[in-house]
Amino acid sequence: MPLHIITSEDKQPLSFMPQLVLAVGRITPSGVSLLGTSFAVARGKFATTKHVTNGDDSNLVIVLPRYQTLLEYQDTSDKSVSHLDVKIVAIDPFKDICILSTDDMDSVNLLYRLGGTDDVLPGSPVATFSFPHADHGRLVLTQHDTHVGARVLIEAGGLKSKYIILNTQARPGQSGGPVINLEDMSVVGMIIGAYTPSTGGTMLFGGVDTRTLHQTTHVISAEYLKEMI
Amino acid sequence: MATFEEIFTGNETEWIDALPVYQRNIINVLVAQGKLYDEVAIAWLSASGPANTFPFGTQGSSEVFFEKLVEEIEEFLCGKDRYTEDRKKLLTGAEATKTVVISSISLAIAPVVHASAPYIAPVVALVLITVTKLGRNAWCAMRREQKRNLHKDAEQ
Repeated sequence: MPLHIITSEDKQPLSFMPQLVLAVGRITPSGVSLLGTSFAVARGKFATTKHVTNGDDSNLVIVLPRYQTLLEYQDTSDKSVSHLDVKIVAIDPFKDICILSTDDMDSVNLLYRLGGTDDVLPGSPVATFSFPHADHGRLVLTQHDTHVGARVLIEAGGLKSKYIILNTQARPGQSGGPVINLEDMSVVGMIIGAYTPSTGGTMLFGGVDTRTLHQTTHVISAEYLKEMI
Repeated sequence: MATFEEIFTGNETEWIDALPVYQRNIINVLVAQGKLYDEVAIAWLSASGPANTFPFGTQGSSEVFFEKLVEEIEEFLCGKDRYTEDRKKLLTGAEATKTVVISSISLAIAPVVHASAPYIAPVVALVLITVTKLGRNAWCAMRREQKRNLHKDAEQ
């Protein structure tokens, strides 16, 4: 089934995000297993993180939007999903970025442009869109309004890249979610994960790593997506 | 129609230049840091995003192992049993540029190592640099010798 994105200019443009921010999943014998979040970056192309896909595109899909706008009530008991096959067309394991592609997308009217973390200052208001708790099969596109806490450089394998810290707590399923600068409707980054200290060991409580229970969420600059599209 | 001898000629860095710019830039930085090509390949496969970051996908990570990948590249370039059609397509198809060679090998072996072709393409390119340096026949012979030695060691 081709994906038609029918967004329009509106007083509440962010309400149309369900058509642009889609869950990533993998087809398993028991159905579609949700892996994380992705968002449209060009016609037929979606950005997510490398760790959401593990670099493997076998049976990889994006879940088609079930709602046109965020104004609708999302039925949490509705487990039915339709999906499109996607392939990985670009991947950077150091910055943890992955670009997915599908041939079944006729057109896209992006509500945002791709910017970067240079465009926001500490204190800038931003909104994230993602599927928190997807590890439990929950498929609810959720908007979180928050602020930029800091601009940071984080190293990966000897390479440093630009990130921002969001003053919000993230949960599994949110990786790959776009971070929107509310001042100019640009995507400034993509959620990667939460700060976690490299020492001290892991402490699980109710299946949750307690080291991740804080408001220090890492977001990679969207400027790196542009060179991969 | 191309031959392997023609494919493995030229400047070794042409293999890196054949990669997409964003991958090429990363590889060049790691090489400039003094890493050997094999070390760069292993760094690529073991990279897991920024330091001190807990990923919020829903699945655990898995790693493609460098040696497994090299084994499959060896099978493609030196073997006879598998990848016969892929090899034939590469050698009889349109111009076998460095990009086409990397892409053909990556696409053929990606399903075997449970990874996407774009993910393993830089590693394929880095291994092909060594193949070009030594020559395909010498590289294949070296790999056979290494395996023989491994077997001997295991038997002792």
